[in-house]
Amino acid sequence: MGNIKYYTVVFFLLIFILVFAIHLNSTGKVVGSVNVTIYTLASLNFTIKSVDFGLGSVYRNSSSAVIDTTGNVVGGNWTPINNGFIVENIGNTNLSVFLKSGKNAVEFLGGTSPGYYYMFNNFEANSCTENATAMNSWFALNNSGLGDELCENMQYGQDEDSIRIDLRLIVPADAIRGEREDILTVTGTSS
Amino acid sequence: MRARGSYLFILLGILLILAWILIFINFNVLEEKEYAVKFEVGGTPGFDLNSSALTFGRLPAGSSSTRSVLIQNDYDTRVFVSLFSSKSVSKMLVISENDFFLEPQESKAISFFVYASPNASLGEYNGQVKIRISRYGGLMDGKH
Repeated sequence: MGNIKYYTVVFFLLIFILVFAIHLNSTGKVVGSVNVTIYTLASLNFTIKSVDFGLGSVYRNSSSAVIDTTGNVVGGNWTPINNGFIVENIGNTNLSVFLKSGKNAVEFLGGTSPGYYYMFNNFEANSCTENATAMNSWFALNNSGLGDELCENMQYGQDEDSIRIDLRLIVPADAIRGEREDILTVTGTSS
Repeated sequence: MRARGSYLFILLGILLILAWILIFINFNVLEEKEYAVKFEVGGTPGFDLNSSALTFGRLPAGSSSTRSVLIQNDYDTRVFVSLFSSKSVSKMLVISENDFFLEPQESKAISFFVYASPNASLGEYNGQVKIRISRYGGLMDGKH
């Protein structure tokens, strides 16, 4: 007799759940959907350590030294390097490319009249078909917003999808001593 | 006899609770969307701006990449949004915000951040991000 009572309780509970579920289904319906848009923008961040100028100092008789990633060292004893960085478009849409630094020249190097510049060029011919910044010229790095737009139309085709970015530092004789580091951000967008 | 009845009662009670949870989960989850996640560690930096997947391109070790999505609630009610990343990418993928409510017509931009540590294994990483939309969230979204 006791068991019958249990079954009765369970039976009525199941009926209750069923009615509740039907109620939810009929009155709790929601209409619509959630839209998800993936922005066609990506930012890649590197430390300038990846472009490593190594150890060096300004000569005593010089007020500053110029070093860059195209192999120039003037007024200092750094070892020349030739390793600007290459940015590739490995996707399947054309891109606009921006370059931004984390610091300006004073924050990065300190001292009197420091300089912190970039230059960009096609690494593979015809990679950038509409440049927003002149190629093969040095410009001060921009550390606001997305930075400077380098290329408005970077191609994605085979053998025409890479640009090279070089860096130049003007290190004053009274620059901050010790290891210096900055973060460069390259942003790609497509419409 | 009484003991057997008690066991039966407990068993039925458990079944009842399970049925209750299943019914709630079923009614709670409104939709799920899944997106492929792909990035490569090593070599020169590269962009891959695919608008139907979270492709981060190629990252040299020690660098990072960020992409964002906009999630808009076009339901006529408040919804709860949860994001899950698959195991293969979850260690390197950080999601800016998770487990939040969106009011009708409200939208929120969420950033996905991939960091390739200097000692990350070189190669290609593939995974998924799942976006689950539910009514109530919390215990009732079957996540916890």
